[in-house]
Amino acid sequence: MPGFLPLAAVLFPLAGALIIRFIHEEKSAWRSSIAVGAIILTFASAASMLPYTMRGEIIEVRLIPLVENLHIYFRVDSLGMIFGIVSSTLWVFAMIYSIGYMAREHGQRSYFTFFVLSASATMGVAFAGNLFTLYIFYEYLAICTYPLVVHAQTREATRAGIKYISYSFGGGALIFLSLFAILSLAGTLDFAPGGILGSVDPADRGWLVVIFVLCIAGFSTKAAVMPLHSWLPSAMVAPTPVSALLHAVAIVKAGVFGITRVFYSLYGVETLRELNLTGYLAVVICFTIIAGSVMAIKQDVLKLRLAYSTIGQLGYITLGTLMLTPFGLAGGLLHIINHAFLKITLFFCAGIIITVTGKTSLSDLAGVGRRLPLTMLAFSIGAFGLMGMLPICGYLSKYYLLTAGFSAGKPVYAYVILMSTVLNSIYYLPIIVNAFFKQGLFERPRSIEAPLTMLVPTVILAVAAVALGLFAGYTTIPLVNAVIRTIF
Amino acid sequence: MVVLSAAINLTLDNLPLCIVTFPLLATVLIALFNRREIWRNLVAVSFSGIVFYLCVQLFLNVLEAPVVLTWPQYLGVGFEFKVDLFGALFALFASLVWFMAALFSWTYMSHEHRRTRYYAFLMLTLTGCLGVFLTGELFSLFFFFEMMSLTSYVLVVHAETKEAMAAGRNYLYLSIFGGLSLLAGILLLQYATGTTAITPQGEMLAGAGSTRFFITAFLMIGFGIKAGMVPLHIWLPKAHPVAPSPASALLSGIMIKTGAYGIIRVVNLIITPAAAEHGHWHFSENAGYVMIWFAVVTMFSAAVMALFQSNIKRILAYSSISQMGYILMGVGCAAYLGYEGAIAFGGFTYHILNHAFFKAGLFMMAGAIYARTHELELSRLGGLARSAPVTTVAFLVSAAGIAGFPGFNGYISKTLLHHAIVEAFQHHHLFSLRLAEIIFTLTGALTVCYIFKLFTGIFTGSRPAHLTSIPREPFLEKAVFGAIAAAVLYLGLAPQAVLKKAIAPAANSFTYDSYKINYLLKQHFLNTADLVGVLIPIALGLTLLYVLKRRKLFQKVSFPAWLSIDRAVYAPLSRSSLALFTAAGGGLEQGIDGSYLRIPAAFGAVCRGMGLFEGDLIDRAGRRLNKAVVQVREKIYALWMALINAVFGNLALLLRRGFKTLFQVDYRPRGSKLFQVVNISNLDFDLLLIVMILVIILGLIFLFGH
Repeated sequence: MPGFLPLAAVLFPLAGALIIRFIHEEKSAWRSSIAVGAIILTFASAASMLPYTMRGEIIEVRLIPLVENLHIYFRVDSLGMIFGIVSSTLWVFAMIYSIGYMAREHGQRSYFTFFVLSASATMGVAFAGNLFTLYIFYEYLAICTYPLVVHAQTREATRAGIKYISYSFGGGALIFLSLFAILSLAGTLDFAPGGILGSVDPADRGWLVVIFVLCIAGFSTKAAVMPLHSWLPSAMVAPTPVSALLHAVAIVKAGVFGITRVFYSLYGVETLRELNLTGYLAVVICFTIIAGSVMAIKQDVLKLRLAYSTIGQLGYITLGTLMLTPFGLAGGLLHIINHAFLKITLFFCAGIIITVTGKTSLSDLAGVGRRLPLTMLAFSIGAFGLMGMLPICGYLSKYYLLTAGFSAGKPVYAYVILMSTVLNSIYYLPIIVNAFFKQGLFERPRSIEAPLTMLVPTVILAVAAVALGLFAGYTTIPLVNAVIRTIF
Repeated sequence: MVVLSAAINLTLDNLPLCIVTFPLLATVLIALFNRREIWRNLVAVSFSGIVFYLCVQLFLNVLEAPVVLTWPQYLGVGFEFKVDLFGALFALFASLVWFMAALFSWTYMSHEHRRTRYYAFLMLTLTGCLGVFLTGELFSLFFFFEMMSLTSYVLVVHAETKEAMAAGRNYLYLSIFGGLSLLAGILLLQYATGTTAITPQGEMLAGAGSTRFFITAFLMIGFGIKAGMVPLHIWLPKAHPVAPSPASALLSGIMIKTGAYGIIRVVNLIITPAAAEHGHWHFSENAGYVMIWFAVVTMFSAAVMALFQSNIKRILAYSSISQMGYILMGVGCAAYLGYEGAIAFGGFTYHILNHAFFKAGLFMMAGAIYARTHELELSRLGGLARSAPVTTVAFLVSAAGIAGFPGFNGYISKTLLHHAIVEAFQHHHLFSLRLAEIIFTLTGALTVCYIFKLFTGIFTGSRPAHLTSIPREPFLEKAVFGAIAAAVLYLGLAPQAVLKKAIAPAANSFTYDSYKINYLLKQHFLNTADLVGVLIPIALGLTLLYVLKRRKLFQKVSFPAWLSIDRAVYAPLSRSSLALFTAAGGGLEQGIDGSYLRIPAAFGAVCRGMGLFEGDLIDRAGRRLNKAVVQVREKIYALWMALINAVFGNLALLLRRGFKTLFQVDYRPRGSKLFQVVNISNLDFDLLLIVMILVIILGLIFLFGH
């Protein structure tokens, strides 16, 4: 029975998307309810696997041997579970939010089809049991999010779409190359907690370096590591729920998740330490963190500022995982969760601002706290959380990362994070200050400040961010500990 | 009744926790009483009063034994209250001054906007501020410290003017930078010694090598920003004047003390060893020496700046920096003297208490004057003594306190600090410390000068024409100012009691020689040497004021803008580093993006080139070639056809001629035998003959050739 669950998580959204595709453009109620239903079922199947994971059991299902050694293979371990449960939970909120946001937009049928479909791809990435399956779903994710990026169908959107798809497929091609190298070296592609590349003949060590470079470069395109990041800000032309979910949670985290998989399920800690390659990557990542944050400061468009902030924050996660210590990995994984909750809140607020006021530039938003008090409060929670203020959940991952940096004897990493925290505050605080302390043209709302389908998910997520900080000991930390136990 | 007494008991059992949660409760109530002025103000005043009472209770409890409350796993990091007498003393005067400020706010804030927000954040800041004093562990301290920084931002920008926003921005960014520097220091400390408890860790730090320099430096920067230590003071002269006066009073009177408190805890406690005989004192001694010089520069430069300002609150803000310099000099001396630093300890603790009262008082009095005249410029004020007698007297008392007149509180602490710097000089007889002592005396003179410039400027002289009708002083203001003056006088007239009841016991948290503590208690302050040590700066200062006033130098001297460290160093530094990173990031983005996207473009160009090649060059060449080939082919064809024609056209004739010739050959023998044998009819026989001959030859070779 449990073997059915990962399949269900992948197939429910697929089926939902198929049904939505054949519902008439006008029947929005049907469409919305099927979309939300499919996503809730996905979430339920992911959540019902959680007890197995917490008990340390691993659900496996192996099907379709395409060729010998190349299976479609699902294996739900604790690492995949973190990504799976976070994205499916947030998908529910994003789906509900989409209903409100898209109410007056064109092309709702294709939007909902692909939005639900990409849930299927994300679940596949999360629960993939070998690199081949991961690769397939990774490309699948790129394909089915492309229509969402170009949804506006303007010239700008088309250009962003081309950029997005060329970056994605470029990265995918590198992974595809490394896939065969790994297969020929290790004889298998299945993920294992201790890695599968550790037992490679010492004569072939040179190949490990090549594979490392290929894999990391491949996944870095999605993880928006600095030289390969520019698709992310351009892709902000997408509708806001897409930016919120895909460009802060699903797609970029798929890249980070892929990097984590490569580190801990393909190479293994020991092998990576011997190879001694992570230091080079760390230089790039540190640059990404600082430069991403600095670039965010000069952005005037709110969504762009959030996008650059995402680039910096993803750097934290990669930095944590590449430290190869329990604290570092825990910090990285916690930040996957925390950043997801906080950043999606921020994007939801940005979406409400766009829908209600029609303004996208920060310079037009002085005094918006008067018009949208709850929204801007949620925004403040998200922003303070990302700055690392107690008791919102972001502080915990930052604390773990700092601890990891200092205890690994690499205080430079910690200084980079502290420096970037200063920069975070420089680009987030003016937004809050302008919203609440500056006089603007905005009036108090007459009734409810925004459509309920948008406001309610936003507020719930903001509260959840605080709750995750206060009760981290009962929620996120056990989940992360489950991963740490299997790896270290 | 039972419930009430149970609640009271619970409160008294968890005093530190209640002290930090009551203001939070007050914040909620204030938010609920949004529109009801009186209830809201009453909540603010009564809760700060209750908190003050709880602090008194806590102080009395701590006199017997330190109070400890811990929650080891809370927030994933652990949370701890551990109150020793030093912390309790700070909490005590902080809550008292807060109570006074809340009372004063009642009258002062009645003309301001957004009062609910002001009161709510006033209470939140109280939580943060008291929390700093009540923890025994640096992580918890950091939490409250940051909370105080962020919430007090709202108090700074309360006016929401352009100036206030700019000052607030400055304050916020520096606070955050300081907070993170603090965090770095705390984490480094944790990895150097394994604990962040506020206890002497000198022995453990000695093994940490150069890390302890970083720890000390990070912590000093973090706390130094809040304490307004030069050169990290730049936010202070901007932020303190723009806040509403009660908030300025708290910023200057209490909140900068949290920075001093942190520095004291670091320099005089954490980096010192736990035992007297240990050989690890030299590190804290060196830190103390450095501290003395930072402090001396701070006190002197800020006093000079204060002298030449014309805005009342700005003078007071610079004066705060200068007075913090006094305190930090005491801290430095205490660390420099190490085990024997009790006098210096007494000096800076006493000065912290004093400064809290007279500076908070002076800011509130400036606020009272502003509320009545809407003027803060000294040149537009004057002659207010008659219309505000209580304020005048209280101001005079506070000014006498800050100037260190005998009988007022500043005299006690400045005398102790003077003893401390002299002792520090006698410790190793370093000439530089002799110099420091001279600067100390000069700064005393400057203090007298600027504070009496302020007093004479506001209260004496002739009243300007535009200040005709001045409202009377409200009762609440009179009460608060009276209380402040009383506090200043009590601290000045009963030093023995304060030293014995509060300061000497507080010194037990630190590692000091008990002999020195007793020596501190035996000070009686009314000897000739001490009086002369204070009267010299007073005489100097008054002379200086007279000369400057006579020559009208206050109007003439102004500092050039480039002298400001903000303009000269920080602004260009931050601007250029920001520009550098932005340019680097932007350039990178453009470059990478351009090159990545140029790959398809390059492919396209290649393809277009190929197309050009194919469609044009090859085509043309092909066409030409084709034409040529066709021409050649046609020529060949024509030739061929001509040949064919020629051949076949004449074929019959040729055949006929051929046969005729053949038959002629055959049938017209000319007497030769050969022509008769070789003729066309027996050709096959001839061939047979040849074949047979060949076979015979080959057979012979085959048989005999080897």
